[in-house]
Amino acid sequence: MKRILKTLGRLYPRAWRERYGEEFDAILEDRKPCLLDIADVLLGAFRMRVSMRHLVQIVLPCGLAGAAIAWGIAARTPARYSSDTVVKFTSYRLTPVCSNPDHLPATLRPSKDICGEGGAAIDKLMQAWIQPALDRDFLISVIKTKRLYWEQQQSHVPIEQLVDTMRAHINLRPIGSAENGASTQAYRIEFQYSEPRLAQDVVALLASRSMDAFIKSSLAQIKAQGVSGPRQYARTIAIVRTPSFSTTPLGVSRVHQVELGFLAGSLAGLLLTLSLGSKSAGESRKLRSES
Amino acid sequence: MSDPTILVLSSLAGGEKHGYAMMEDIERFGGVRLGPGTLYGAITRLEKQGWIAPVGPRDRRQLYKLTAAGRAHLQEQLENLGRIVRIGQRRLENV
Repeated sequence: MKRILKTLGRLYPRAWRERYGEEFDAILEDRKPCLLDIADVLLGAFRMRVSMRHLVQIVLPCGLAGAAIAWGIAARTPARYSSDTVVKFTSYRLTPVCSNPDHLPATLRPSKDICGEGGAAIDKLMQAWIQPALDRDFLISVIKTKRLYWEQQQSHVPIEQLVDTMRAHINLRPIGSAENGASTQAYRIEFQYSEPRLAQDVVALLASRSMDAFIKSSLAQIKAQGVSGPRQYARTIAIVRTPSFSTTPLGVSRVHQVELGFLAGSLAGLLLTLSLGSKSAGESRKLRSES
Repeated sequence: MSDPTILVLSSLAGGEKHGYAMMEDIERFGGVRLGPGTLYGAITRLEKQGWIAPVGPRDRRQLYKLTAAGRAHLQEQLENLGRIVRIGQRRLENV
């Protein structure tokens, strides 16, 4: 036990050991040790390392350096703003009585007993309406007309790369469905960009593109079936939430980034203090063995 | 009463002592078994504040003594403690 305590005594900072080391070892030799002494010596060594001197000389500068680095990174990373809209598609089954296209408005009333097209079917259809919003040519036209990623355009970054970047900033996902006399599926269309007004404009364009695809596909279907042909389903599309406008940037705020940087730097400083102390203890052992 | 600072100062108020003697003394008069880490943490702080000082040349069993500033500090602390003890006792009597 005495040997363990003496070994743990090496965890104290070198400067402290130079001044009190021999006395401390002597007290460990004189005293009958107990298990609690192990925790006591460990805690004593830790407290001595994290003294005010270490705090001011190592931990605090490391914390400040961490905060400065975090500030630098935060300042170089442009803020991103999000805009989104929700588009809802609904499919109604047309009742046989009202299947005449002349009475189409009446048939659009949902029936509690008869559902529209199944979830999988409508999902497939929706993919056909949503996907055109990610179409390469369409995105290129948006990038050019709205002057998106202007700095990259000026730096001659290939347009394909900008399209990929834009696709990565577009988020299209279903947010819910319902079966209540009709099959309803809602989609959220989101775009993230460094300027909130442009993010909103682009979301409006993406929603508009999706609606265009819906109308074209419906017209093509009617044309294929013939205007007076029998129809089983009617479909509607609606924007249930207009494109949002947010001036609050996404992610962690700069103040929080700086705080995190300070914490990380302080932690690194603490580890550095501990490792320097261990190194010093090793050097002291070496010197003792040499002498 | 387990504040190692007051315990070490009180022990040295009775005369010069080395670390082990302080531990024995504190256990005897205070009923507190100070660990070596706690004792030397207190000794380091007290010496830095000038309340205790080593006596004679460096030795494995280094003697320490109470300084004038340490005596004044201990006096002040004990007076505060005495006042708290008196108030506590008076309140207990009035319950």
